[in-house]
Amino acid sequence: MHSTGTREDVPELPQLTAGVTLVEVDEQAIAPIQALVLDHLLLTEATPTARWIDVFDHIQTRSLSKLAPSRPILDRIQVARAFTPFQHFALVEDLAAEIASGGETPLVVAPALDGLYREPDGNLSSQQASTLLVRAVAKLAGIARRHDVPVVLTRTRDDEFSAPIARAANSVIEVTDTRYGPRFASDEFETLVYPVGNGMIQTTLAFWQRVLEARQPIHAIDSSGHEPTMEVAHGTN
Amino acid sequence: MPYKIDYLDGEVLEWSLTKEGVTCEHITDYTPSLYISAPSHDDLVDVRGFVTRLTEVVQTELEEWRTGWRHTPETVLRIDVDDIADVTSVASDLRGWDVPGTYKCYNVDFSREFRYCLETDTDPTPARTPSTLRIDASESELARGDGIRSLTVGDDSIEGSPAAVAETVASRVATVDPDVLVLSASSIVPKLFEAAPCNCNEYRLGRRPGYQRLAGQSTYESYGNVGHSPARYNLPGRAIVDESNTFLWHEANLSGLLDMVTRSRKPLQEAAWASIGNLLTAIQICEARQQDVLTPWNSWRHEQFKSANQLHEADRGGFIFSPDVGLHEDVHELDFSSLYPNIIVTRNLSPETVRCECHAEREDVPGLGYAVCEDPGYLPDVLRPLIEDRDAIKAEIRETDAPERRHELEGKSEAIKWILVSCFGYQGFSNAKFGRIECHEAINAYAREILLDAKAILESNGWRVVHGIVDSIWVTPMEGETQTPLPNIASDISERVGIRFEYEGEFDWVAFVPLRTEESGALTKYFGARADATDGESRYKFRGIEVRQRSTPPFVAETQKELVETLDHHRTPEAVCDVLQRRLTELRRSAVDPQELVVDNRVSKRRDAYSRATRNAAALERAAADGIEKYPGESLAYVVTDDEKRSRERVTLAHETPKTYDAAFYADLLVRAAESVVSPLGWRESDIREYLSEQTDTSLVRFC
Repeated sequence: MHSTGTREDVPELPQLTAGVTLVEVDEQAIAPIQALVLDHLLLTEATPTARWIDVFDHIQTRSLSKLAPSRPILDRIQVARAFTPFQHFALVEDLAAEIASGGETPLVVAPALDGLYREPDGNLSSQQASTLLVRAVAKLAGIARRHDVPVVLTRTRDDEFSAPIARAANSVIEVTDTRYGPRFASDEFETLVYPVGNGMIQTTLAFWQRVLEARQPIHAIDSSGHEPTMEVAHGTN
Repeated sequence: MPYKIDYLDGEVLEWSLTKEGVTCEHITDYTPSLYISAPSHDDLVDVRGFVTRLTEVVQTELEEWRTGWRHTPETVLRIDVDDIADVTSVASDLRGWDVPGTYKCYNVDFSREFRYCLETDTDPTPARTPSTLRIDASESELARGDGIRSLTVGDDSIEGSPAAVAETVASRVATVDPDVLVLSASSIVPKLFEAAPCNCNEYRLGRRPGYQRLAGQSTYESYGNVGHSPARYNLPGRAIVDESNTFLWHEANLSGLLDMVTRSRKPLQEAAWASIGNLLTAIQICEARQQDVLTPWNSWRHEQFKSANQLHEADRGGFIFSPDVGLHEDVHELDFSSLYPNIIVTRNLSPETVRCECHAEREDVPGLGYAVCEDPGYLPDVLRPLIEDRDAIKAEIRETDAPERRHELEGKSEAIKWILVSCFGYQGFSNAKFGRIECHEAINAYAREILLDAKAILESNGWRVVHGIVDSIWVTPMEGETQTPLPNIASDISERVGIRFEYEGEFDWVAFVPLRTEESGALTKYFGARADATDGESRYKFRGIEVRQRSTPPFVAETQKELVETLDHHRTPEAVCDVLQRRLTELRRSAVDPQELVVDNRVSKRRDAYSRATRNAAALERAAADGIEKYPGESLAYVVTDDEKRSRERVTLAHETPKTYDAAFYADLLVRAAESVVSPLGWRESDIREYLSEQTDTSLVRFC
């Protein structure tokens, strides 16, 4: 895990690497995840598309489209929504099969992975629901391991039910709000994204819009085919 | 043809109505079936070995069925179980038999009577109109711990000790021998059995002694609304209609209910308690069975991936123009007839046709680019007869002079209308058996395009669109333009779209109400005066404003109607406020009957879940002190007696016959209702209050 940034005034974001990354966010905020995904896509080749397995409308296309610097980037995020644990499981399974048969993807995102399995319907026992979740996690971890793909997960609660998600994670990024801006922290990395002193709340869309706008120089360099000028390996710590 | 099916002592009883009365046939060899599919034939053979060892299972058979609308027939295992209660437990066992999703179960969660009719190909339409008898016990009687002491059976009041009441009811029911018992609440059944002087096993309200409890009470959430479903009971040989737990009985009538019995194959008792979604599912299950398609237990089928841009487009929802806030003169309303069902039928939209695999390259759906299959879908097949039958019924209503026939037809028309209204929302309902979100999105996308096209055509013919929502458009003549007559435009649009666009009517004026805190219009709040109201038809049309809200007390609702009439005659906010002033004075002089001030609210959460001292919480507490426990979804009627208080003294329940009320609280409600009426003219609450205080001052001056 490392971060990318070029100059003092360009905010840093952790770069997503192959493997399972569990992002622990305060209050289920989705904007930081959306920003990470968009940033990752802006830094990678223009083809193939990221896959987003959605529940509870975490995708929030309205805010995602405001956050995105341009509409075409949204064509590079492919979403499918699940409304039952069965649909969620089937989606994960089908995606794993598709990638195994040669489908390329730069990124898989599954927010609130435990969410639907917590409220099973159709007489699914909690034991069966838990088994289903464990198998879904294993499938996603398999995608990350076999195909060198970053897989980003979040969970709705930190408890025994969601523990299999944490166990499968190769790295954990904690996103916390501080007075100086959101802080991304993992074992190897810690950074303050963008210290804004004007009281702007970091979970707001406007904040993340500014972050992505301010990162445009690196995105621009990257999409023009050049390497980013510098990789900051240790953030601000 | 049986109209009631009972599962009793290991047998099925088929009750059929005849001219003379009723017959009962004992069926001893019926065994309910569920089905299971597996990835391979070997897996099926494996699971068969396990299944046959289960004590509940009487027989298994390998059969050919389709596991989805577009699937070719495949070998599945039919499992016959001994008892109706074993279906779910066996299915639950099998689902956990291997990796989840390996063994999929079908035809599992069907209601009891419906399953029997489906599996034995039985039409549960009664051979004659069933006779009914109504039993009504008040809430407070049902809340008594020691049994019911007073109720009415038909037109007769019965009072006495609980045992005496139970005995009298049983003898009345035996004498009348109704086919259907209409109960104000189904809990009357266990209450009477408990109080019966004879042994519970001998006491009878049905055509055999005893009763069964079919389901416990539960609270559920549907489309964001919390509902309460009371426990359900069964009496052998009679159907129960529980008035506190029936949709069709209230929204349609017995004829409408019977029409749905025929269409859904749910016998009368089950059709009465079914929700509309439930009936629509039953109709689809019947269609599926005809086409050898099994009904999945759990919805494993997920939506296909689409780009975030496509999803953003698809998520825009139904069609809405922002209303042009204000009072508009000379307004005409035009509606598309059953727009959504007709879109489904004319555009061949169905869960299995939208984004079909066989035509992946096509881009049919406007804005979304989804393919729609050329092969006919099943949903249009299900809806087409409903649309056609309703059109025919409406035509007959226009023709008929016989009031009885009219009543019958109107019940049928209402029942079908509700199915048609819900078929679209059902597609987007996540847990619907045969629903599919992409189908829902496609319907919306076509609806948007159709309405936008209609708007453009109207505008190019000299009409200005002042509002449009879902399937209706309101227009007024454009100044300085010549107008093509609306009937001509309507038929032109109908032809182009392939769906009837009808001229609904003419209004002298329509007022679109702004949101309370903003300048923009509330989408569904308007009122207007019809120019073409016929005798017996109300001149005024109200939507979304207080008079249409169920919680609004009658006095406030009546006053608001009066204010609208005043606006109609004078067209000034001052005239409206003068009438408001008079009603406020009445209110403050305590001259209003408290029963006219009853607030009828729906309970949204359980008593112990209220963290804040709201009026509903106070009323719930008060009801509980009276022994009446209310559940989310149930209604709660009370008068606010002292809004300053936080305790249960804040309200008095309607059945406690309140003598006083909190005039200041109701004055606020009146002012709000008045604001809805004058806000289209630019007056807000502060303007009303300012005007009222000026008037008070001058009248004081006058009296000094």
